[in-house]
Amino acid sequence: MSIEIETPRVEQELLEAYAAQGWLVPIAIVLSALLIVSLAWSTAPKALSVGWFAMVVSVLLVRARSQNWLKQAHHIPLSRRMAIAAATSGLGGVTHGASILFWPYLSDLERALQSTYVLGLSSGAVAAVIGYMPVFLAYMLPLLAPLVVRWVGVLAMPAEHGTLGPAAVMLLLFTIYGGLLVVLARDTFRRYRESFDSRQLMRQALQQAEAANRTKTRFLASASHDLRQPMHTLTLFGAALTMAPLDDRARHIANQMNVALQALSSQLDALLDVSKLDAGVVPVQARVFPLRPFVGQLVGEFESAAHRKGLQLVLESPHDVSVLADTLLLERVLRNLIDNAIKYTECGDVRVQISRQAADLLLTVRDTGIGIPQDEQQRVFDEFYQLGNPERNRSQGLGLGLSIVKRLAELMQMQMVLRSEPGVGTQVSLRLHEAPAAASAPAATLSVPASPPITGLRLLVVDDEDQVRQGMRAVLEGLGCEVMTVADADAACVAAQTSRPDAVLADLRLRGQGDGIQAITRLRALHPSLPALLISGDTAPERLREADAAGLRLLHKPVPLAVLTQAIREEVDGVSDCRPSVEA
Amino acid sequence: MPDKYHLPNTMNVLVIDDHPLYRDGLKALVAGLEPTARVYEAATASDALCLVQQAVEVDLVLLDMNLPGISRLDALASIKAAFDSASIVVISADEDPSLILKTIEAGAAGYIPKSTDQVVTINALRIVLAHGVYLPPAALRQTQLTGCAARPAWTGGAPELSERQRAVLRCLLQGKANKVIARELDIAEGTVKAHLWAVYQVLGVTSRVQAMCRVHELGMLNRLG
Repeated sequence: MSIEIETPRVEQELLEAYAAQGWLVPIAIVLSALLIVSLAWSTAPKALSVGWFAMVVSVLLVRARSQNWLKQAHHIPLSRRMAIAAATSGLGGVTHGASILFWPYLSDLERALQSTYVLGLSSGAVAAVIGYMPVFLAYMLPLLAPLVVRWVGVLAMPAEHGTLGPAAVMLLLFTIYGGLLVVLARDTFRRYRESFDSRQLMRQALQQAEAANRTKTRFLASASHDLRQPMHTLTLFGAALTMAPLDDRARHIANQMNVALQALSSQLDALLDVSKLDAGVVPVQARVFPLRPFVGQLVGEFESAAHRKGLQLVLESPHDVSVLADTLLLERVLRNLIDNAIKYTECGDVRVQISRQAADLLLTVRDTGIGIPQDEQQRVFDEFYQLGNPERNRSQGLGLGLSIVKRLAELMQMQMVLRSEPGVGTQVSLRLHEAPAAASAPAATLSVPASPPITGLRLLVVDDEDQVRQGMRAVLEGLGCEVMTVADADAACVAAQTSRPDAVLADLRLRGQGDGIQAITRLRALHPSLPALLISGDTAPERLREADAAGLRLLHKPVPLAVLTQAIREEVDGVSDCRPSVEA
Repeated sequence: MPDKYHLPNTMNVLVIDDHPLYRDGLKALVAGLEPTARVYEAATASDALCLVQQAVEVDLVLLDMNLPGISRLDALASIKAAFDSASIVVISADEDPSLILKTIEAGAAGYIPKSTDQVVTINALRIVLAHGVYLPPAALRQTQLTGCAARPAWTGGAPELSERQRAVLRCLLQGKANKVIARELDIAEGTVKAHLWAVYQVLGVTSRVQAMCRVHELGMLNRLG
């Protein structure tokens, strides 16, 4: 299967490059125009001087505006847009070339200066228009032509020289100069096109690689998902078999089958984990929780495995440390790390240490195992890479553990550091964010009798800030609500289309179009009298009046949990219908 | 013809799963663990509802919520409404603790992950067949962190409950409504509420889900009778 990708045209990129050009060239043009005007100021008519200068400036402005417009006027065919670009360029050429009108008021020296001005502009234009021929010629021809005519005319005046020789030489010089510029422009554009083409190829190659990677991920995910079903079935039959009367030999075989099945299953689960992580469908739900009991429980689970190998498994941690993290994902990371540490250690101990470092917590799993050589330390995080398992003995797993750990740490935005020395041991440290212990123990907030329960409510949160959405989700889910979060009014309407939420919490200010009030209005068009609350960090009086006028209750950030739950409860119960006042 | 196909001392188990092979496996396992149990099976929610019309009184439903044509929690709700005196235990390949908590909130009596560990599977089924209630330990640990439990872990061993309180608690954990509990224990609904209040006080909980977690945490299941 081949996918047609619309290839961007070099002309489009050219227009974008024109528009991106800064004010350096225009400033140079204005300054040199000022020079010409000042040279001719005392002799030339003021109307000419002022008029020409005004013309130069306004053409520059027109060109800047048109370039900005051209790059995004996609409804106009590209060839038309290039023609327009050439036309404005021509306008510039005519204007700058019109400096020839000052000739009668200039001395010979000053005329030479004017000529330098024109020649400078024409060579500068090669770079400015990136050598694109129509645009370049449209500028250069009206710029140079009057000059050529003047100089050749001057030199050809028989009264002064009596021969056409100098005029012919001048004409030849101008022709060579012009020809050189054209060649230079052509080369410039050719090089630009070549680099454009290679960038294009690279972009396509990258897109194809990404697409192939996505396909691989999808394939892996669906394959491992579908394979799990028959595997679970097999487990049931295996279990039923072990309960049937069997002779010793048959029982041994049944047990071996079950061991093999379990190995197969854990490997498939690891594959599914990797594909899920790669597909970006694993959500992160951070919450504050005390770290020591959490890690302690996990360490406890591994105790017997460590003892079987004669290893000591030790937890070293201060009391009363709380972190903000996703418990489920952190558990998987830690499980993998401890499992690996035990697997690759033959004697000594495995230590799980929690220590404070500045404002962060360092969670370290340290072993006295075989260690990892320096040159392999990066590769151990790759999929299917196993240390000391060149024969790929599958009973040691697929080698997905650390690649899952790496993905999980990236997903949780946790810094992970590996230190290892062969024969000495390995340590992996995770940097966690310490949270104030007071904010922990969500159980405590649940049992506060002051705030009425909002458990089981389906809440729709509309906020354009990702962090706020995540925070609200963590808090409200902690209170037992089902939470949907969206970034804007459109998404809110889509989310509410299929089923009516019990209440909407909308941020007053939303990025893009519309605000929280409009979002609520649109949602109420779908579900009349839908309970809704506005939340805002904005204390500007007119915003408060807007909310008041819309008859919506407004809560101010930061909203204390008790106030939030109270307000949600009241809105859902319809208590506050009679008082749409603004909360302080 | 008797109006209910329910012999004394036999257990009626209904297996709902859209994979025929998995249903067979589950049937074989249930038969191995509880030879006297009668196992019914259904591939869809509506198949299962037909059994209600045949007046089959089900004690235990083993439900895979991933059924065609219906959302997971909807499937659970409709099965629960149809078999109001049965324990509904969810069997699923999904081990997300928040989903587990949601199903318990929706009235499920337990959750057995489709694990490939035989010992786990057999033990879970054994507990479910005995009590109609089960939660996987891994999910329990996560739910403790999310504040499922109302107070820090109990220190003085399992609390004392009267026989009647244990019976009410067991019915509660099985997800039965107060009026069903009243009917089964042959007591007034107000009495059920009074017992429940007392049980909540003893356990230090404020909801059925918290009670579920606390009972598992304390390992009280075997003493519920």
